[in-house]
Amino acid sequence: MVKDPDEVLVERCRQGDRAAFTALVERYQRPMYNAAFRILGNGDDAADVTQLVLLRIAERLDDYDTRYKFFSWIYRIAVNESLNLLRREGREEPLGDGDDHPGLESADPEWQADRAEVSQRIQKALMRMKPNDRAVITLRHFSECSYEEIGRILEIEVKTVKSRLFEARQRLADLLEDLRPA
Amino acid sequence: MLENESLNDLMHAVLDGEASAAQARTLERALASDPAARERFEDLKRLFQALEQVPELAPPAHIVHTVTARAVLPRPFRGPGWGEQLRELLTGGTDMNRNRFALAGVAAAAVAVIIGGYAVLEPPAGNQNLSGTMAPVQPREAKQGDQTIAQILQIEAVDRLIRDPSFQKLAANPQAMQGFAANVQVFTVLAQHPQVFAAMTQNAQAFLAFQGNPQVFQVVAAHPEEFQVLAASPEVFQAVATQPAAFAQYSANPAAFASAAAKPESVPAMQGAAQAFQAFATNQAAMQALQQSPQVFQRIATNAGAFQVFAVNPQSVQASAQALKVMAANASAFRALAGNAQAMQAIRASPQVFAALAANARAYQALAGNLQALQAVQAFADSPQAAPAMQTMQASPQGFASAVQALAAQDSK
Repeated sequence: MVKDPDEVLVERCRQGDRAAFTALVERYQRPMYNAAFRILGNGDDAADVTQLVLLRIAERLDDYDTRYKFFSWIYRIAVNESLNLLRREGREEPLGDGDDHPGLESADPEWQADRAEVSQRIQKALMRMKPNDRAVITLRHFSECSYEEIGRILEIEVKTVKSRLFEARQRLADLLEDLRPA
Repeated sequence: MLENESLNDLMHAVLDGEASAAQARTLERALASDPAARERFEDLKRLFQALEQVPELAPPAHIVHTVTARAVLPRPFRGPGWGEQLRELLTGGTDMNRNRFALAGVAAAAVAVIIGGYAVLEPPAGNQNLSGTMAPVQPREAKQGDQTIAQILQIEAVDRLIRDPSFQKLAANPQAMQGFAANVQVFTVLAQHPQVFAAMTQNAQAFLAFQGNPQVFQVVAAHPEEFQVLAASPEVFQAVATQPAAFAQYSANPAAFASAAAKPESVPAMQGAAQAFQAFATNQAAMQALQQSPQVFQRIATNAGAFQVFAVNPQSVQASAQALKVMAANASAFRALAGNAQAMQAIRASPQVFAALAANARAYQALAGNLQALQAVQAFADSPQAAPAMQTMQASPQGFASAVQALAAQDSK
């Protein structure tokens, strides 16, 4: 079945079409959840933010400017909500271990163990970085956004995206070195 | 020669896929003549590779249901007034023939029920000419659903609908019509899928169980094609529909329903085992077990082989949810085990053993055919040394399989 583009679904949602909204939720709940998890480092928080963002989208559909991509808009809301949550709870300082790691999907325990180990090391390192660094790494590497898309989501210029991303990567590489087993 | 800073930027841009071909060539040349830069580039590549290995996580299954149930969408577009549309329908316009006029009365009756409550209407049953049987609708401002109804009246599907004997039958059932009133959107969905309609109207009780849950209706609205697939298997649908209690539970679990509707491939499995499915549907305990664990249902629905086995062994569903998850992930082993009711009971008492076993189909099959062996493993699992041993065995599936097979052989002597 050919999927409706986001714009078509959004337009149908604006007409009160719940089926279209369900389709949008099904399409974006997973990337939303993953982005939130990488920034927050906690599955429950990521689920809460995902729900909140998707509900907020329903409320604010009239605010969405169709000149821009829908996913940029919802990622902006998701990243902002994640950063706000950290701020509200005084969790901006990098410190957590981020060991909550739900839902890897594979029946092969060996494969799962290997990837889980890498994933946990990276998540631990991310949690030792500043939230803005986490956000830029998340958007580029886990949400696969381009420099330009990251710029739109974070509302910064492309050259700032580059410098922030390159510096964040350097810090991440240093942290992963620290986390390397002796 | 490039400055270090520019060279680093270039490395990131190339690995990000954001560099031009000319920039990529520049980097290549720079790296060829600069071993230190080459080393830095290799380090950066390793970081990218590590990040690529991070797996995507599955969000909790409840999110879609929770969000779609709670979301407040903008009010729909306000179309032409319902009164005008209804009048046109009832008077037949310019090109309606007498038959259409009669059937339009049925559609109008449905609309009247939706708009004005249920007391205004007592349509006679059967396929009679129904024009003029409707009590007068008091002129008033429609408060809810009127714009949706106006839209419904404009769609071509209504034309087909009012000719449908199933719809006429349904229109004679005020209780059923009440169901539409609770969710007008479903009316549209059903109107577009006469087969679904026909299947549902064959069993009023089942329909009532179904229509009592607007969340399930939303799922139907989101998956009309898949739902049609389900309804196109009359045996399966009938099996569900003739068991209102099972259907009610099924309907009460939108996540499970969504899983089934989203996986048309699970339908042929159900269809191939319609009798078994019927047996399954009559098992209230089994239905409750599924209801408590929508993720399990989702896994089963994606695995036609497992479903078939599952369907012929409804008692097996009473095993723990954790065990069910594992079963669903391993169809061949499940097939072997599901035939052994005693083994299933033993497993139910020890889901952690089952989880460990299920990682290995051969071991699983060996156990499935030998209850004593299973009990021996279960006893072992309860011993203090079990945890590290189980871990070791899980890390070495081949060895585990051999150990279990040896154990099974020993016990069967």
